[in-house]
Amino acid sequence: MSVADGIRDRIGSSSDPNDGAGGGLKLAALLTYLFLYGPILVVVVMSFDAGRYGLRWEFTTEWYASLATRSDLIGSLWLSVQIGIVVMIVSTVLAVIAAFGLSRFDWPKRKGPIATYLIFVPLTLPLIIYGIGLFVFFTRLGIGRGFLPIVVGHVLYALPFATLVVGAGVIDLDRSLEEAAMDLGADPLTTFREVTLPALMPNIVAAALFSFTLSFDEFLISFFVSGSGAVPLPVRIWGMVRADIEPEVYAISVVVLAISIAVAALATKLRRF
Amino acid sequence: MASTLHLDSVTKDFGDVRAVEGVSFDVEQGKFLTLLGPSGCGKTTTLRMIAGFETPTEGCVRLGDTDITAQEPYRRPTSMVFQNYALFPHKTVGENVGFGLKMRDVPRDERSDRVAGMLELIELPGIEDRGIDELSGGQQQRVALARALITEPEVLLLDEPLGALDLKLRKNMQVELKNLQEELGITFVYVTHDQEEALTMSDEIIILNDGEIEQRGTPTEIYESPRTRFVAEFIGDTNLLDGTYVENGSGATVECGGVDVPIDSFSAVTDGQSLSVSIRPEKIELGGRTGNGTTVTVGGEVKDVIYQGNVAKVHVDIDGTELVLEQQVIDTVNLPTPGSECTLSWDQENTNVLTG
Repeated sequence: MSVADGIRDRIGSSSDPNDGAGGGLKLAALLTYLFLYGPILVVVVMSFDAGRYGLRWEFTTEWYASLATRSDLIGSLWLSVQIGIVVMIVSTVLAVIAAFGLSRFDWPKRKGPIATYLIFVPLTLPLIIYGIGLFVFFTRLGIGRGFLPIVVGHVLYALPFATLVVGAGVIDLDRSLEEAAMDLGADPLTTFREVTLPALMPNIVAAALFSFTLSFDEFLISFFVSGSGAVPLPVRIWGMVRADIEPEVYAISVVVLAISIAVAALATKLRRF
Repeated sequence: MASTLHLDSVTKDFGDVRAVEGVSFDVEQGKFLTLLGPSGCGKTTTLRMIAGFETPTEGCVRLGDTDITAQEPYRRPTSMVFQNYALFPHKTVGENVGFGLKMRDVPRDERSDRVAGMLELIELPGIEDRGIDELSGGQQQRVALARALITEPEVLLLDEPLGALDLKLRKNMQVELKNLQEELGITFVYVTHDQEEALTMSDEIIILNDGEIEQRGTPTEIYESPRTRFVAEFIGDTNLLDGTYVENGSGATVECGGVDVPIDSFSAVTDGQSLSVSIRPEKIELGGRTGNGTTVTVGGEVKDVIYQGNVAKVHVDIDGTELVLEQQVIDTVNLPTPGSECTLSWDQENTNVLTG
């Protein structure tokens, strides 16, 4: 059950259409959604606004058209997609290994919970510390800023989330399926390929898409370790809005939004929960 | 290839818990053996050691002359039918049933022929392309059976395979399983906690309690001659009487409160020691009887009559000791009335002396 279903359940069970509180509740819901999506709406509306400084709003697709000529923005978008794909692959593979290690390895007493905790604790740590740490580390190595440090940083960031998603699947996985496969003559590797992986596929795909969007939208780590020609889109946009917001920024933001929503929708559909 | 399955003093510990203790038995090729016992008695662990999912802490498992104690499950000529069926949800019925053949590199054409034949055998022909979630519980059960049988295992292991089915389907499947087993001549090792299922299907039953074997025997032996208190109570209803063993000339008596139950003299106990006996309710008759063997006759007072349709349970008080007998209801008019005096009798052969 998704969070939305849970909320729907609660609202559904407590709101009677004849009840006076129902109207108030609807208004509250409307305002909440407006609050959640308001800033996004502003960006979308601005991206279609013809007047740069004007007070009147006029519809245009001009900024989307001129995006094509902005090689800096397109280059950064492409770089973000490339980083996202590499992060997705690395993070998902590591997440599958980590999920199996945490739930299947025969940990000595009390070591299991500690290992699990250590995987998930980065979720609560401030990203800025990762940024600083990575920057110092790669500078000392002489690698400096660029593609590799960004990828490493994003994998660190995405891995706990991906492990969480894959791990939920591993815990729910019916062990007797794997036993049945072995019983019928499949060696451990074949069992993993024929039974375990297909059964976990919805979780693995969700973890992959999740990793991609986390990387694609990430700013703080990228900010510290990007440079020398490798500037991912969020950092590029940030650089552009400091002085004066060029209208193409709105347009590229909407493109980013569309990509993120598409990936999230795909993940939700594939996860089936 | 008459391979007998042997278990030799098999013990299994999980941490500090001993699940199975010194279990030894053998099953001849083509026999239907049931491991019967309450949950936690070690029956499933024993089955899993035969399948290779658990390694015995001590003892060994042999199939014919081969020691398979440490052999991986995927190298053993055993197949298992799981309690929850464990059908692969992402594969079709055909892919599920054919999985074992695919693992043995059987060519695709032969594989689909044999899958079709197997589905024919379980009376679900032509459902190869269906998904597992499109099947009813009973159909899933049959498909699980087909998947396990297609590799022609020497031993088929069944872990409460009928547990999830409703009563009527379960009764049908009991008969079908037994017929199938006789037809194929495969050794079946069947785990259940359902005594009726065990009595219906098995050639032999092993009763497990607390990881140890209580008794082994044919269904008739187990039911008619339980040797321990546990077996007498676990299988069917019974009258359990605790008393004192008293020798007297030719025979012996167990004095149980108001009832003196005559038994054959019993060398394992001495005069004055306590001893228990078990008498099945349906073996006791109201009124005197004229059987071939030695008849035991006692007098008492009817306390209660519980009508259950085809039978009635009659509770009789004999000087403070209660015996329950079961009477076929042929005519409701002839049921005894509570408070009336009565005579009970049974064949002395039906008195079971319990040794443990």
